Amino acid sequence: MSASNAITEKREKEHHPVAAQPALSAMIAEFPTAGSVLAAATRVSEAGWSDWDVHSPFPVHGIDSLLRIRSTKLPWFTLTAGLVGIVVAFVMQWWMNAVDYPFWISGKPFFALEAAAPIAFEMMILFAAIATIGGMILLNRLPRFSNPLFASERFLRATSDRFFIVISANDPKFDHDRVMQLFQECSATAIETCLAIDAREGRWPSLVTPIIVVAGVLALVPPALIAQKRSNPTDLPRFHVITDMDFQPKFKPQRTSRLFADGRVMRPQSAGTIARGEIQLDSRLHQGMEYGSREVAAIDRLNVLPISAQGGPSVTSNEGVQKNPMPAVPPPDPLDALPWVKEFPISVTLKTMKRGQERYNIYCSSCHGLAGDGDGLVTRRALDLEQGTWIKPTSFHAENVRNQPVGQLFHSVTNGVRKMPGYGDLIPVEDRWAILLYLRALQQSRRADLQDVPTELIPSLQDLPKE
Amino acid sequence: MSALINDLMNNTHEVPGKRASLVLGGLNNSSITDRVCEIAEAPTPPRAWYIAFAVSSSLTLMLFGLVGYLIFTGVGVWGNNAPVFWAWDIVNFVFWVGIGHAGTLISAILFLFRQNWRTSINRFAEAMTIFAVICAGLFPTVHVGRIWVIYWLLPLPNQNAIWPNFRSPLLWDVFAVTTYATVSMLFWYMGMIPDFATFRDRAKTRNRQMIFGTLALGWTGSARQWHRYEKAYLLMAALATPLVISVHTVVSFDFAVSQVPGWHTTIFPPYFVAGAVFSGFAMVVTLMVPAREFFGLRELVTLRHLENMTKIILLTGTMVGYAYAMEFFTAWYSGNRYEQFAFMNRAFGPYAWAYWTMVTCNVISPQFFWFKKFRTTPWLMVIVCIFVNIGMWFERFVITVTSLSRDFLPSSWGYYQPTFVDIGMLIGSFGLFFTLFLLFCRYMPIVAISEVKSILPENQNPH
Ligand code: HEC
Repeated sequence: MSASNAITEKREKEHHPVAAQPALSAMIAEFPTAGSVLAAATRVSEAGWSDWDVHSPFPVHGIDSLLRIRSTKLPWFTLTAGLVGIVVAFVMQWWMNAVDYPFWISGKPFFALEAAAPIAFEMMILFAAIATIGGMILLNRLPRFSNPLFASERFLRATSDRFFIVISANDPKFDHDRVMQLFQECSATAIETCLAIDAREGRWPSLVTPIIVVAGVLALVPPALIAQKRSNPTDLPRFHVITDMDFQPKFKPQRTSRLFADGRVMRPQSAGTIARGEIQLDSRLHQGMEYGSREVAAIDRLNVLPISAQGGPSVTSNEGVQKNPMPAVPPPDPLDALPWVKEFPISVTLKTMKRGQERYNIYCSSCHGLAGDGDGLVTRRALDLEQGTWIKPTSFHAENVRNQPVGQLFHSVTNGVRKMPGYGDLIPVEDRWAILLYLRALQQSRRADLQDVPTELIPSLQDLPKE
Repeated sequence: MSALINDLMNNTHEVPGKRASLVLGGLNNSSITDRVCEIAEAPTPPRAWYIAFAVSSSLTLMLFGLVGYLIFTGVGVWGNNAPVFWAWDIVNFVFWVGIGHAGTLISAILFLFRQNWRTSINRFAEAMTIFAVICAGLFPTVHVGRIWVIYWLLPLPNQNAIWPNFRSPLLWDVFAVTTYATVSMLFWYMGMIPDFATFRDRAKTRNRQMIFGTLALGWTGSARQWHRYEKAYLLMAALATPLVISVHTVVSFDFAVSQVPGWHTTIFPPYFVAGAVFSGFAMVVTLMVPAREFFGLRELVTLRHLENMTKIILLTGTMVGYAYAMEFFTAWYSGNRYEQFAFMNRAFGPYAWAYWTMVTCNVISPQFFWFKKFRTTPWLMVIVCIFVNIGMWFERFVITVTSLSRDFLPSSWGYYQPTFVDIGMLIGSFGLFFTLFLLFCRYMPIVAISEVKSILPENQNPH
């Protein structure tokens, strides 16, 4: 014992060369086994000490009651955090998927307990686990990096193979000699005194403070940037670190580019080429003109179009047109001279006729009316609203339309005529002919004789209103 | 810890002559501390460590290279393609998560069941859990393609002003796996605090003092600290036990909640959990046997520990075999043609080779553990366990790939083949796992020193 005391004295001198005697913080007694420390602790406890503790490399059981340790509040931390986790999970899932951004997934409800349960369970565990470990650390007053006990070389074995009883100087009964005597009675293998740490020794290593300051300042940079951006709205596109597919290195329609001499990104077809699937060898079918006739070869399609788009008086005078949409004497049209086909270049069957009726009702009736009188719903609405720019479509029953060769009508439908846009891009070529077939039938229906009607259908005609 | 192990519940009593002691060689408090600490304090590790580290760290480098290649090029570098959009990435993910589960089982479930023998191996197994979860997390992370927006998986406000879909099992998986990783890490760290304090107090250099001093948080081993610590340990075990079961259940939901034949079955959760424990224990044994040789831990990790683990492998392996049989029964009993086809296709279709590899490795090989010789000869155990690990990888492959490659529409059937990136990343993930593990063995307390001391007969409660 005396030897160890001597060591202690020596250490005190080493640490505190100046004799400003620091306060005593605690006294330590060392024991070799769990059994001996337990026996000693029983004595200390019976002697009525209150501010003392036992340190051991593993939990020694039976000590808790001697130290009068009350059962820890830790389970309440766990329970509370677990419940908070459940509530947070449910509220989060409900708010995010049912309130803030509700979106349908295969007809499932926006929020359902069943689907929300797994995540609620995981968050319960997560919160509870963090609270348990965090709570254990906080209740144990950790982290605590400087401790007067660590000054004792001997005490370091408390985490390996020795057991210690520490009586704090804060105990009201504390007195150096009394504790010394008590420890000796308990047959401690060594006894040491521990001095309170002087403030300078208890400090962090000098590097830690600047590191924390720098890290703290750096940590403020992102929130500051966010705050700055949020308070200064801008019209500029969003800042993208990685552009993903938002900005693709490609040309979009109707844009310009210096890559091409003419600045257009939409490139015209190269001269002398035909696009795939666009070859139109059958001029009867595709242009509605007699194949092989000299004139066809002479016509440049590009020359025809501007004529049809500019021709006619309707463009210049909307006023007059609206009152009198059908010019009484149309000026001679250069198109009239072309070699239009007069026969249908497709097979004329009931099936084609039905198809034509269907397509006509879809594509043409809105303007031209179901019967072709130029009174479709769009037209009527436009006239009701007194739309100045609207032109009443020509009635198909008008003389000049009736007399047109079918090839010319085909040309009108395909490329447009005066104010009417072309439908060549929208309606496949066979369907355009089918529509014209039906158009011819509509025209025929106004001028038919009784002998045009098949005999078996004549009886049903009686239901028609008499003229 | 042993506060919980009262005499009524304790079925691991040391009965002299009946069971081998859990700590051999007459080790006591001092020598156990020395034995474990010296591994980390030794100036150089054993030569075998260097060789193993060289191999595994080069494989890790290869893995990182392939991950970089994948990120810069796109997930097309893998073999995944119509109709098998989930392939080795998911197979590897489930495989590694499963491996991890043994660690939690040992540290939490065996703790609750008062199995004292866990103390020598739990630190190992917990470390393995964490490294396995890291490997597992890698695959789904890179398989999202645009990895730079992976935070979209989390409910964080983003510039698109949308939230993740909480009705999807894949999102449940995100929560389950991140929770699992976090809780395992916390549990592992908490378990190490007293041992870090031991390291700190033995530290000879300033660096070690600083590092372990920080990690130990100022632990002094006072009775008050131990009191709260033990309570926290019990609570963590009670939290981790349902957690580990939920994690593999949710992983199985990734499959079971879909409608693909062969996936859409209610047997999946228990079957996956049993498989996870099975593969995890096989991995623990595979790692433990060489580690105890090289680091001189034969007296701490005894044959009794190993034998106990082989028994668990035998049990869970048999459960897995039962599940395989049950799957066929369910398919037949359901009367559902697609389900029946899916299973016939597994066993006799183009992937029959994978199916029978799986059955051989998982059902037949653990049965060797009925023989005492296999349960007590370390190298025989390792061989069986390696087969089990191969088998469990194939199990996930069979489930994922056979079902997807031939589902409802025969016109879109296909045959999946991995690319060199797939293969390289699987091998590389083993490299990563072993690299982390070797670093752990070298620098950390690889046996829970304080826990082992608490089960020493000499330290048992004197009254
Ligand atoms: C958007 C309304 C609209 C639709 C739809 C429409 N047309 Fe026209 N159509 C007109 C107008 C207006 C005119 C008269 C143009 C003019 O005189 O400037 C016209 C003129 C015509 C003419 C020319 C008559 C003549 O005077 O030579 C034909 C033929 C014709 N349409 C056929 C069709 C067919 C067939 C369809 C269906 C594919 C169709 N139209 C669809 C508005 C329409």
